[in-house]
Amino acid sequence: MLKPNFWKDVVPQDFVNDVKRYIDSEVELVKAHAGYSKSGEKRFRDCSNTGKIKIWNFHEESNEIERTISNIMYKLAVKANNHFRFDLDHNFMILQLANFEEAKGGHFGWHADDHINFEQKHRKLSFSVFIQPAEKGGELLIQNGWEILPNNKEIYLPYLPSQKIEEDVGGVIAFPSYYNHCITPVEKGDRYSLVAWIFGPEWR
Amino acid sequence: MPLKPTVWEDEVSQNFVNEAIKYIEEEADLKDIDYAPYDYSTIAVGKFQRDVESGKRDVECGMKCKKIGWNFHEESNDTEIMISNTMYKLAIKANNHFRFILNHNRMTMQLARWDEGESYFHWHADGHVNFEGENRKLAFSLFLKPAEKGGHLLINTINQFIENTEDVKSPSVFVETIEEAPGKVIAFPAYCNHCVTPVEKGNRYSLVVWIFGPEWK
Repeated sequence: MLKPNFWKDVVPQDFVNDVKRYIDSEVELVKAHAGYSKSGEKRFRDCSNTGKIKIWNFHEESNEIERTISNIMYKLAVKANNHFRFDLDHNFMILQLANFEEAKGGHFGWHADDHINFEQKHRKLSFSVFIQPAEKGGELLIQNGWEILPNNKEIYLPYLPSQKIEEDVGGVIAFPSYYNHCITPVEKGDRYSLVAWIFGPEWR
Repeated sequence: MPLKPTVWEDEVSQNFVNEAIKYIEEEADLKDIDYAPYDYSTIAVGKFQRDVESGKRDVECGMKCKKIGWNFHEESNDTEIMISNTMYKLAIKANNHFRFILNHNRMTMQLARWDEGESYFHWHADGHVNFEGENRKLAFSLFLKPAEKGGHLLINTINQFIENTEDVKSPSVFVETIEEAPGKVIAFPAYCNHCVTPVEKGNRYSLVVWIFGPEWK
């Protein structure tokens, strides 16, 4: 049996409400600049991020709600890794709140979180928590693997479909950080999400 | 600390190249592989190229070539044994760079002829399949004879340096075209997406090899 490459869970509605309130009223989101140079020039053809974000490191939270978020994600990461069994440094975790706005057609082009590293530590496990799905557009697509062609005994053809992830409020998905994924442009209603990355030594 | 390059490079002797080409041309019983969801006559100038150029990835993965494959330790003749032994040594050498947990005895070889006007392989990742709990972890491409036109290997590489800027926090998908020269070998992690663009002129000959191992840690 193949191991599913996604792991799913849910967080309580109270948590979702707290995070949503924090994004709406308190936190100051800044423009994400992935895929752009400092001068704002678009650097890569197929990767740009027009979302607004707030980022912090685990153990460096600025308030109670950020601590709550970090602690929840820490526990989820430990739980998810019972499935994945990666070598992770659970104390090296980065959290990010994002708003992909309808007004800006918020989107994030194809990318993989593992495509950068920090002082030889790699993003290895990626989380998305759906706080508020967009009403239209703003879909998370992931290129997952391990699809096998039926009726073919000679070769297992590697396929590269991009799977649309159903966004239910409070839904959590974890996947290996080397998978390419993207957020399609938001067409209606702002899309709120919480993402987290757990770091670790190089893939072995 | 510098980032580790995603693609490792080496080369094999001209003799190796000649023997492998001779085997493909004169002896090997190549099988037609055709999982084409596309009509080739339209993809060389049409859908495939547009998908590659636009970075579009929600596509079915079609491929077409002629190939022969075997597992390490299950070779049918001296040429296959020679190829396996060379690749075994290269895999150990490459893994001094990658340091993956590999089972070097679990290796699969494939010789392929990519004919002009019909062959291609859409975006895919070799690591997307596994075999009885073992995973393809390290992928090799050895260029025996490049096509005269088209037939380019493109790879989504990672860990690229972003020069002259502190802005390293930009995850992206880099599409790198690999320069093909006879005898050149490259190795890369099997989770990297890659494709071979349609061969437009001159048959392309290649050897690909996968080294298996336990699940990624």
